[in-house]
Amino acid sequence: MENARICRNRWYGRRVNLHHVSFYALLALRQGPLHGYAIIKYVEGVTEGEVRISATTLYGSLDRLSKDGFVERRGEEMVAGRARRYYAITPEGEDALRAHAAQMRSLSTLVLAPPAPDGASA
Amino acid sequence: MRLSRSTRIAVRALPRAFRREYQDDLEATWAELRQDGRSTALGESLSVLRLAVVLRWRWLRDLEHAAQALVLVSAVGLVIGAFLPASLWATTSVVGQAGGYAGPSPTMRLLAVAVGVVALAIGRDREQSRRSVRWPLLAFAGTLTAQVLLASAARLRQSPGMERGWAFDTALGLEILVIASASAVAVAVALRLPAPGRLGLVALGVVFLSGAVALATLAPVSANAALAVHMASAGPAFALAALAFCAAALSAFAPSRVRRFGPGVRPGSSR
Repeated sequence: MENARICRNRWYGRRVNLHHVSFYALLALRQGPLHGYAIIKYVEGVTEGEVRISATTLYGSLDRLSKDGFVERRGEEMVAGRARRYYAITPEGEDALRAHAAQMRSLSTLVLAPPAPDGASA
Repeated sequence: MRLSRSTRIAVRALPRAFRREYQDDLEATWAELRQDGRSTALGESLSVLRLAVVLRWRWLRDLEHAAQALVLVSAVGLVIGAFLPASLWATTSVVGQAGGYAGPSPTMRLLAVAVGVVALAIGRDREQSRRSVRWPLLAFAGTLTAQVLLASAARLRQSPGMERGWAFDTALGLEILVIASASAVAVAVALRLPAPGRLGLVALGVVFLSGAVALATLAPVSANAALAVHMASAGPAFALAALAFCAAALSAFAPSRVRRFGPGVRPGSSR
């Protein structure tokens, strides 16, 4: 939730803002339908081990994403007597992911922009 | 792979619907993480407990949404109720049937309208800004309290030996304002207080609740008939105030939440 605090701004509420775990989960599912373990591995790979999502955190996030219609089930397979489920991103999830990425880009521009020359700002 | 005993116990803390939906899948993922040496029984148990708390708070959030809807309904009801003809009050309300109550006085009607309009304004504004659902909860509690006090006033106006008139109505109006303001301050403070302060708020709720129980217990044995009626009427108001305080405190304990909105997303939902 740490990345959530910036969103308490009055105007921020109308934008799309995914929790970082949801963002990574949707990012992973863009590659195609994946099961929970594969999502965790993908996120680790793409962040070079910087981000490690716990299984419970991931399933909490998948639960909410499913309820919001951003993710859907896509088949099962049996592994060691347990049903392992595959998840896929929906078009709505794709839209939310893109919207969030666009927001991140505009915000990062503010941070990464070269500092204004002396006296340029009021 | 078999789950450890502690994990099995922890899993039971999860909501049933979540378990039914994800437990098998979650265990399959744990099995693979364990093969990698990256999951331990202790870690699983703790993370499951944390998730259980998060999911339960979601339920509380849904409850707050229900309160948000109720505040609007309640506020409208209050305003309409204030303008109902006296004959309707006398025949339809429990209070009216019990004591031949002739409806709220003009002062009470005015106060009811004021409280209802403020509650409506707050509820509507928050619904539109989609910023917080806590304020509607407060408005709801305040409105309910006001309604109960209206009934209380009705009982008092019919009580033998009780002086009626504008002074009495004003006193009761002030009572409503004090309780509503106290609730507002309590919620506002709760949202900014550190944990010990919120615990204090819960304690205040317990005090109110004790007051309600005491009033309900003492009312029947009071020698003063008018006072007995007043005490019996005030009991529910105290109970409601207690609930409002506890709800405010619980709400303030909820983990930091973000409002995230996008296509097809409900206000207040988080992902």
